[in-house]
Amino acid sequence: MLAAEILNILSVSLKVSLSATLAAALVSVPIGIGLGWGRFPGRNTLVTVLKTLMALPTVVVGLLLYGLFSRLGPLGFLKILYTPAAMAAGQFVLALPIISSLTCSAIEGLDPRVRRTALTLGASRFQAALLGAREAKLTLLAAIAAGFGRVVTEVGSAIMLGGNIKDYTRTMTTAITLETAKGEFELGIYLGFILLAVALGLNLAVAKGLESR
Amino acid sequence: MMDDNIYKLDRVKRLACNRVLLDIIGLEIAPDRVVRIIGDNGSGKTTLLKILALLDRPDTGHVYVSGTLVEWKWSKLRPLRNKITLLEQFPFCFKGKVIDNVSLGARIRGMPKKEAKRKAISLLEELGLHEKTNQDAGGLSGGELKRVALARALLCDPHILILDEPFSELDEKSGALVTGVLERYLTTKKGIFIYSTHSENSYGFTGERRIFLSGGRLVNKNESICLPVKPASRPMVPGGT
Amino acid sequence: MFKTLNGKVNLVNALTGFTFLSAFFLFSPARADDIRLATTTSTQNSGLLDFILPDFEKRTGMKVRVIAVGTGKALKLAERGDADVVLVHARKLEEKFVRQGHGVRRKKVMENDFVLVGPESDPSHIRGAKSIKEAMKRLKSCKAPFISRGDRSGTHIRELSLWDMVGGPPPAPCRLEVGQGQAAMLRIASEKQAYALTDRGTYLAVKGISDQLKVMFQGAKVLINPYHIIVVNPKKHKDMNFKGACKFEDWFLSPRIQKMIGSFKVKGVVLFRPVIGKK
Repeated sequence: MLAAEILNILSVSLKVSLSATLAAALVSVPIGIGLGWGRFPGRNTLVTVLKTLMALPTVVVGLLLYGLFSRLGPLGFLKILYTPAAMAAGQFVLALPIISSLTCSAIEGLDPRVRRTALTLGASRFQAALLGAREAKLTLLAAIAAGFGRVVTEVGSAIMLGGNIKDYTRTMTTAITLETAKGEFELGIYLGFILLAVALGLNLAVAKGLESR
Repeated sequence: MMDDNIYKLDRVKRLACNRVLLDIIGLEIAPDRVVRIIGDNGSGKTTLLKILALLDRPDTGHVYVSGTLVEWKWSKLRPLRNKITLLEQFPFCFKGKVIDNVSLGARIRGMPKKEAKRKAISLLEELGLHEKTNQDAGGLSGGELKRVALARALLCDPHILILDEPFSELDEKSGALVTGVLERYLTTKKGIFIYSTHSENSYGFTGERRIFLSGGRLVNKNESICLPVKPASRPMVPGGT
Repeated sequence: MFKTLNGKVNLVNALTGFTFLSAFFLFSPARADDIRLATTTSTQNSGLLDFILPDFEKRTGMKVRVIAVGTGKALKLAERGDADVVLVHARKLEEKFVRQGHGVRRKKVMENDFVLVGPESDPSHIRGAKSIKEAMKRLKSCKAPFISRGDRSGTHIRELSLWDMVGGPPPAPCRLEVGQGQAAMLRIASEKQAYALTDRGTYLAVKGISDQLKVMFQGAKVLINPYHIIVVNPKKHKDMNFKGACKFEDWFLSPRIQKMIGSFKVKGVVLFRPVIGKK
């Protein structure tokens, strides 16, 4: 396998997983804060459901979205099956419960005075949420990093929705699956190490960025 | 129906883990300038103040603010809360600079940035904290934190200002500074001022109405209706010291 | 206090029990006379193995553990001693495997055929092609994409040899390598309304494919697909089940099983031709 090919695979992996994680974070952080501070009927059930969905099997997500995006499926007209967009959609669904559950826990774990102080100073719900998110910033970043870790390493939905098409939807994990299928175990392990190194580099970068603040 | 009382509490109960924190059958707070709530530790002062600040919802009973029944719904609460600011006994400061914390409430309430900063700096000076202005709020001592939070609450300029044990945690010098600032606030602003102390004999304000709490219930004492005065009719001087 | 202690004790008990239970399932012993068969996805996906293997197990009392992967991986597994016997279809790889001393007793056991499939609308006009060479040339014109296994399986290697007839495979948007098994490859081809090379058995057996993709070209000699059984060399891997593997090969070539293979039908079509009894 050429170095250029590996770089290509790596860039597909990062592009898909980063965009999916960021999109999921934009949706999940508000959900998590709402659940963390909100008190409404069904809230506890919802939290439990989200916690359970953290363990959502990747292939189940792949299967559900496959049915949705398939040519004969309800969203078939979008024609995004076997494209990076479909993979990103799958990873979005996978990251969502993780980031929102962890955000919810982070917000619940905040000093109760954070919310009271924000409200007594006249904050709207949105402003209070922003203040809360600022206080919990480190934990929220860890939650997003956990979401990224989950999606960049998953293979089930990526292979079902992306199709492992060379130079297009082949990611680190689907490439490892393929190399193993070809019997190229050593290459598979090298790819695995590269994936680990990338994850490590990203975590170090986040840690460094936080330190310098 | 018009109601002169700023607060009316009707059979309000607040429980926590089967313990009664607060059990008030009926309480009306007339629009006196200063209301002082007195009670020992654990008497329910903080719970009552949180309910008055609309930050804690009673388990049963009704709360009226200026004659309006409080419905504990977001859309209805915010306009009411905007009239009230609570300074907690152990206040919280957000991450960031002291100056940003002090101007936060005023900024949220729509004061322009420059004006908020200017007022924040002058308040901090009055409270003897000008050298802390640009420091991180995380490094403040308990007494400093309290004064920073007081400045923040004052800058909100609420109709009802609620202070939970404003003089605790303060040494003599800071206590005097706080009293001075509060006196000046009372003479220059028209709002209503509710505060709590655990003893009857500490700092006090002339003409204050006193409410006594014990074990979460109201206690009738004769002094509790001492010297009612009409709002803003006369200058306030420190009393009780 | 006691209540929480009890609670903890119960939890510990439950966890220990669970651990033992799962250990029992994980390490439920593989019997020494089990046979590990590494084979291609086509024999498994078409349903042939499910059809014939119960007979072997009943007769010999040995269990056959099937590892269905691409031919390339099947041979690699055998090379590492992770299989006792292979049933594969890629002549060049097989010959190399035997030449390098990894396998013995290579015997042809059956054959089937490859077909070119594609969408009903047939944008590249493969149906009208006179020869396989012409068909491949038309595919190269790229009116619709061609989906390749790209996983060094027998089908992939055969596909590459077909492209060699017309000067090599076309580049990326025209030919997409999906690096997956036969069934997944067909599903992608069906979704993309693209062409693909597949063995007839898998094509017919994978549900929902034959509605979406039709046979475009078939019957050429180069499309015949012979399957071989190779027994792993016992000199390389001492602990392997050599006896069982030989027994399996003999059984596969017995007239009764050969007849059974010849009678195996999917959707009314015979998929595999036996090598004896029909000549």
